Amino acid sequence: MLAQILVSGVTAGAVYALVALGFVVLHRGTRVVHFGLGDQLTLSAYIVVIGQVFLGLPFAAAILLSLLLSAGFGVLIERGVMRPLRGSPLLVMIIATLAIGAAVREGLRASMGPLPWPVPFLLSPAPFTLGGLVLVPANLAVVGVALAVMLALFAMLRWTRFGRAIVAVYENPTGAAIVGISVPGVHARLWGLSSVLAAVAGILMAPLITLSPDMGTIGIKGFAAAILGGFNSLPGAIAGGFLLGIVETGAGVYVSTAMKDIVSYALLIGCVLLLPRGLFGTAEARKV
Amino acid sequence: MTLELAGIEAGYGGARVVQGVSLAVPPGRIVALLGPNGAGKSTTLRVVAGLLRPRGGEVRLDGERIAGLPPDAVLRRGLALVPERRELFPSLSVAENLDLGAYARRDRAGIAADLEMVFALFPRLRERRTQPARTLSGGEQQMLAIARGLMSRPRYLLLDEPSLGLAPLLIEEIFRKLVEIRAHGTAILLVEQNAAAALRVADHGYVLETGIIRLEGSAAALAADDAVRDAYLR
Ligand SMILES: Nc1ncnc2c1ncn2[C@@H]1O[C@H](COP(=O)(O)OP(=O)(O)O)[C@@H](O)[C@H]1O
Ligand SMILES: [Mg+2]
Repeated sequence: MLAQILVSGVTAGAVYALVALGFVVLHRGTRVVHFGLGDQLTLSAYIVVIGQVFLGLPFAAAILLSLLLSAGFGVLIERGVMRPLRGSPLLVMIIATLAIGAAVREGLRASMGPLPWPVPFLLSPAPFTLGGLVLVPANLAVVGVALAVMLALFAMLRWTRFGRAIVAVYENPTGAAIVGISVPGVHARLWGLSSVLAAVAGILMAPLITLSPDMGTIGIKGFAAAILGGFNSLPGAIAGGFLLGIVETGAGVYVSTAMKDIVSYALLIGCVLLLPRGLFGTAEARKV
Repeated sequence: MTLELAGIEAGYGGARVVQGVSLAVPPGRIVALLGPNGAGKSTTLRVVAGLLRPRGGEVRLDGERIAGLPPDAVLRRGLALVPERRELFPSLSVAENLDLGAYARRDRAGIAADLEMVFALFPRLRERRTQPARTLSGGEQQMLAIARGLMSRPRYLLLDEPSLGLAPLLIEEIFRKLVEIRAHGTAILLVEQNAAAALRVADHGYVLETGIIRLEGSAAALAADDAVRDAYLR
């Protein structure tokens, strides 16, 4: 039973981890908490549907289109909204992200209707049993893709020029500026990167639940996972995501399915009250 | 081929901190900008490095107006700031800090050669190359900050109070390195409260008080000046 909960929990956990990464990747560099991220995730899933159903694109091309447009949308938010707001209080920027989220959500409701749309699975949704465990190929694909994206993210930060500039801004924005890194340019990249992470989460999650304009509430799960992880640590965000997915699945099995969603809110509140740095968070890097 | 400031005015909010500063740094020279705490020395350097937009005046590099350019554009024109607070990347290693110092460059061979050059200049950094910057001592952090600045191969190094918080022997060592850096062809605008140490290595100097240049002259003349001796040397 426990093993089954683990196996089932990691599917949701992988998606939460991606959303949590989306929050943390952006916040560490810009200090902005993007409350529209969940709705951007929904938009990205809808773009896949639009590409397939309305433009007649193959599934892979529709996904590529969605990822590109999502990255572009993120950069556009930075250029069009956040950069002009530079110098205003952080709270103003955060409220702007709420407004962007609401606009995306209601725009989708108005244009795509409130009805759910079907989104294809990556692999078969038909379960099979292996060593007493019920496995679903579609769910395994979700976990596999999410893990691959996480590895790619860490490799990018470690080994590419693009990633080194991001790490430098994480470490010290003034230091980054004086070695010749354009900090506003890195902010734009972070908005794009965060949007792509949310997009992958949305595209992975859409077939498992129903795609509706309110799918963005999954953003709250990702937010809770990021808080669990301390909100400034990328590995923490991943661990927080998997932990939340597993705990939630366990609560669904042992208590009731209605409890599932309450668990993440309870963890969120409990964590903020008892462990303000999260389970894995470290103190802010001390300035040298 | 000169870095020139003409009538620079700058401040924060309502405070006018720098009130019409003009000075020149010829290529390959060390020019000291001296003055008491709060005079506006760091603010002047922040303007030159593009971290602060001036309210008036001009910064010219080889005749080009560079005031108001973003810091990355200033760096690409050959000016590197070593700020008072050092602004290192604390959890990255010494080697990674130096590598980021060369971020704006693409010439791999030149970067490798300059890495050898800064390791020769500060052998302590080679020993510590894998250590996170935050684990270095104050003096080593200052060396790393200077070395990181040099990794961009600047024509002008803007150095803010390299002696701050260091023991006298270490100050001696760092200032000897400044002479070596000048010998490599890099000019230095050296901001210091420690006038004695600065005037020993500088070619020329300016004294800034409450945002205004009060005195200017060759390092030797300033070191011999009664007003400077009374206020800063003693
Ligand atoms: N970021 C800032 N905001 C407001 N005032 C500042 C800031 N930085 C410096 N000042 C003020 O500007 C004046 C000059 O500071 P600074 O340029 O650092 O002087 P110096 O480097 O000569 O000691 C001081 O009165 C200081 O309090
Ligand atoms: Mg100062």
